[in-house]
Amino acid sequence: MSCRNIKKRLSAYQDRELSSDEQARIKSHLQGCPECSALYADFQHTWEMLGEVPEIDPAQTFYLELRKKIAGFNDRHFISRLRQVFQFLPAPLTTATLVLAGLVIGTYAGNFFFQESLISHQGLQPRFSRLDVSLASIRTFDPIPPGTLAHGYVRMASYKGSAH
Amino acid sequence: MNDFLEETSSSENLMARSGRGDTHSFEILVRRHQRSVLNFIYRFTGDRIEAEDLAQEVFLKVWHSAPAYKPTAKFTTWIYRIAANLCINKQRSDRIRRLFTVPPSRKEEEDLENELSADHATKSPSPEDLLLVAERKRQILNAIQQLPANQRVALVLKRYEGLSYKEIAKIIGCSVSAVDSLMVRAKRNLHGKLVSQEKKSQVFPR
Repeated sequence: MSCRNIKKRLSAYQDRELSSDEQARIKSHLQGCPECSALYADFQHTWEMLGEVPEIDPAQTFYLELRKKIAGFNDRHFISRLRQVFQFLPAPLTTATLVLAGLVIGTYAGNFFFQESLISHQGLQPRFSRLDVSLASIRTFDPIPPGTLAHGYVRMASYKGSAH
Repeated sequence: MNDFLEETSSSENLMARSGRGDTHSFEILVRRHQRSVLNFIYRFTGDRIEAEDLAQEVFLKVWHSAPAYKPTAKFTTWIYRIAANLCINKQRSDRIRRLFTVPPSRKEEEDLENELSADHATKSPSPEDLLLVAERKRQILNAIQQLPANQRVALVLKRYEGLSYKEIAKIIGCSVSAVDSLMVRAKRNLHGKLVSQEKKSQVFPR
């Protein structure tokens, strides 16, 4: 085996990664080749020096810290999952969904609070039943509130109608 | 008795139980492998604090991968692969960050010296010896840091974890002959770097 091939296999020889035959062949080559044996000595010396780097101990709290990170990750994961739901919706659809949800929630909340305030204002002798109050609260939701553009248009239309 | 069974269970079994949400099995798994994972990362990065953070990241990934874990390879091979990939990715992102930040201060180097000399503080007879030992270790760690990532992974796994070329090949994702040539280059590079550092500071005794 030539020196070039020996040098290629020298690391594997040092790490005992070769077959016993190959180990023996390289060993006998090293005994008679000063150049290859010098390179091998360098490898050996470097390997020994690496042993001087100390081993470190994990912190006592390593596992506890890890549990905290796992708990924190789970919390963040819930928010990121929520984001993922909206991520697949196009922006206009997301906006429309949120506006619609706001309207529905607002209508129900307004209706509920209006009824509650009417009932509480009746005092000790109630004059209206809960059904009356519900009907009144529905009637207060005027589809064309006075003073709006739509209200003005309706008034103009009805004025023309009465002129004929 | 249950504890004894858990302690003697294979890592693959503990992993399967962790996947079903058994935190006790996971704790045993972490305690079993934390030292080797931490030291692998420490020798790769040369920074103790960073090594602790990355080691926790490794186990965080292990926990989240547990439900889907299939024991196709040895558990140690799998966990070292996670650690190696994290280290390489961290190195890449650090390199990009360094382009936009100021170089590390002298204080960080002093911290490393203090850390390295701490374990010899009681044994070393004189402050000069202590400094020499610390300087030598710092040089060796620095030399390891200067190796290309794949060479560093192969070298650390072989020298400190005692893995075979075959196992290292599985972790890096290459052939055994590629690991062989990585090791040759790593050893040559490392020797070259240590010799050049010796010339600079005259503490390398050859």
